[in-house]
Amino acid sequence: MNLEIKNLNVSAAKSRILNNVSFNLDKVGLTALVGPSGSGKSTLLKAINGLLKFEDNIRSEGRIFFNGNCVLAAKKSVSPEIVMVFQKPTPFPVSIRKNISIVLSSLNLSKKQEQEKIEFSLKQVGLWTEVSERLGDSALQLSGGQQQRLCLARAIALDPEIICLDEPCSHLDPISTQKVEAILKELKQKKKILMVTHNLQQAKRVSDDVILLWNHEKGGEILEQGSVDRIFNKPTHKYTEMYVNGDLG
Amino acid sequence: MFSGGWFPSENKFGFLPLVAGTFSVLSVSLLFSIPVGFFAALALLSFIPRRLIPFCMVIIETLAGLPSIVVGLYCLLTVVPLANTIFGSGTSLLVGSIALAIILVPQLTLSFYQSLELQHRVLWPQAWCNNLSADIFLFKVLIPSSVHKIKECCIMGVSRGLGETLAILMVSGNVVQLPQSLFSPVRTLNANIALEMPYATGIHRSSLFFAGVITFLFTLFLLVLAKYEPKNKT
Amino acid sequence: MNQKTKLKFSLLNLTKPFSLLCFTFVLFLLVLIVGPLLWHGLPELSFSFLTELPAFAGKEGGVGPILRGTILLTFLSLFFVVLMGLPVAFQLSHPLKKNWRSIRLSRMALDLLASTPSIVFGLFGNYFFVTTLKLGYSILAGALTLTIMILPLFIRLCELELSTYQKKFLPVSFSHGLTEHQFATKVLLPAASSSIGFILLICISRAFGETAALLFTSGYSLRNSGNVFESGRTLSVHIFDLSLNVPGADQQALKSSVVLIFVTVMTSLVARAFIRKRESYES
Repeated sequence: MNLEIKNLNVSAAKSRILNNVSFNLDKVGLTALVGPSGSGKSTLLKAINGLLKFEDNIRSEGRIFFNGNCVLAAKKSVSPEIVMVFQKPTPFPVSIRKNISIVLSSLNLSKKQEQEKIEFSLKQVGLWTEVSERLGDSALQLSGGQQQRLCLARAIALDPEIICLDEPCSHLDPISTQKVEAILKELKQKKKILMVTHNLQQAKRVSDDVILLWNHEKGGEILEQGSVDRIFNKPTHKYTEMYVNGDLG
Repeated sequence: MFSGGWFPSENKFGFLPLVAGTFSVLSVSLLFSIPVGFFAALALLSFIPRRLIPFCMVIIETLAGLPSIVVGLYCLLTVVPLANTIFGSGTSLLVGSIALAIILVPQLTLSFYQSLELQHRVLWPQAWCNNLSADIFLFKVLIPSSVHKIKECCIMGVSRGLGETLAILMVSGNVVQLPQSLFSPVRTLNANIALEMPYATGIHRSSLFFAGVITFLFTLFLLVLAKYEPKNKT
Repeated sequence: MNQKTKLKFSLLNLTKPFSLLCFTFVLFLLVLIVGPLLWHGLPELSFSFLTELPAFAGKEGGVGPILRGTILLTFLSLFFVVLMGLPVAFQLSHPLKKNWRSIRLSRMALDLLASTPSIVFGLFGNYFFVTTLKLGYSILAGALTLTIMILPLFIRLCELELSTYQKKFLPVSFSHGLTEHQFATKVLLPAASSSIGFILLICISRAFGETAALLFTSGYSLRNSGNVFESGRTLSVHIFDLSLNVPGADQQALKSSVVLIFVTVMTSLVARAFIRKRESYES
């Protein structure tokens, strides 16, 4: 069960976004994707999820393998093995319970199993005590942090292999961020998590591995990759050192 | 086809008087309703206190939503007798145009307002900070920046006026002739279809269908005109 | 030069009074038009008018069967509109297909149809439904004609509504493994249902007010028993007929038009108010 990306090139109408990106994701844990804006972090996540087709004028080459299956060429979505949580909270505008039961509908569960799953995933993100009384209410009535945690619960409910997170905390206040990070710390014991973040402190706090993307003239490339200690304490590349120490801009 | 008059009983089907009737009614009423609608929209944008706007919108939407047949009935019952006593001719080109204008003015106001409102909301605070007065802002900034939208609204108004049938039919007299003056009765293309369709047969019927095709082609032309946008502008 | 700028500015200064004048005129139109109609029509209006049979070609009696026919016709056509319009709107607003040539072409065609005069639809309905399909002058033929007339409006409005939801939720549901069908029925429809309802209200208002397309499709018959294959006139056709062809029925026409105004204005006002409120809420 591993994700393998080989020579991935993604280009927009005029410029190239990702250039020759290759890496492997084979062990459980949280991998943080960091790097300056425009280095193609979000694009990489979208490519892994097969969401590039929703963008205009995007071409992609190279291969992404998941369990030996090519993801890039696949017409069908790769979920429920790979699931994405977006930057902005995107709960469906239906009730809280429905939000989760909709995504479960493709699994053909019985009513009881479904209820158990809903309860389990909401408990895991710490929402159960807050919303168990009002599962029938619209998800839009929740606060931003709660909405984002609901989105996480929705992703967890599918029991995916890999969870992709695109700056999940950038729209949240510090307290909600803390809650989300606590969830991530627990989740990474069992799942592979890929998280894009601009917040280096956050990467330091929660991640096991770090991949640093850098935007060269030819598009975003992987500059350095390694465990969180190595990247932050013994960076080999001078850009990495400047970036993690905050010497750049 | 365009020469000669419209005499179905003699198998003469000249569309000229009908087309002339349509366009005379249309142009007279648009001459009035486009400026009025436009300036009313400007008033709604800049000169009406904000808290009155919902109330005003309700009134304008009510007017814009009036079925045209009701406007026709109103004109038939009140404007026609009035015109009869003042000008000596009841159902005429003028009254037809008035009916059409009553239908078009609120709709035009509404569409002008809707197409300018977003731009106004974005630009007006900046202009206000730069100490521009409302009228200078409107004419120097807002209108030049949305010429295309204004043009589109005007053309859609023309097209709506072109499609109007029964309200004009009820009050414009329906005599097939080239309009001599504002007070002479006219018959429009659409009114002609509505009037003669129930009993038309054979070639008469087909020429009525052809009249429909003419109206349709006018609409097509107007739509292309409305959607066409010169590309060299930035 | 100086003179010229001065003149220009003095003209500009007229903007405010002139536009306010135009605006008062527009507001005044309401009093001018709806006032007399209500003044003459409302006092004589009674509930029995809505249910009674018309008598003497409509000169006396009520509008019972006419109202019933109108409602039947409107809802029949709304049924067809939703049935055909929703899938099309779904396809048109699909973010992956929005730049397809066929989609762009059909969008242009819908724009053209939306601005086509209603009498042209009447002619088409008369040719196709009444003559070719041999439906005769009937409520069904009228409803079908009305359907193709309202369909472009409905589709375009729905497309606007759906495309925002599609853009926001399609990637999410795709990444969670929902099929397009599941997405459409479980996410999109519940999310957009209230706005679709209000779009339907706009369509109802349009359908009630329509006359020209129905003149030679649903016919003039005064008494319709509720059979869709029989001819039956709608309220607006009734007003048209009373005011032009039946002398001395002005009072009845006024009363009918009060009913008509009430229905159309109420539906469109509610719908527009809802849309405006949501716009201000979202921005």
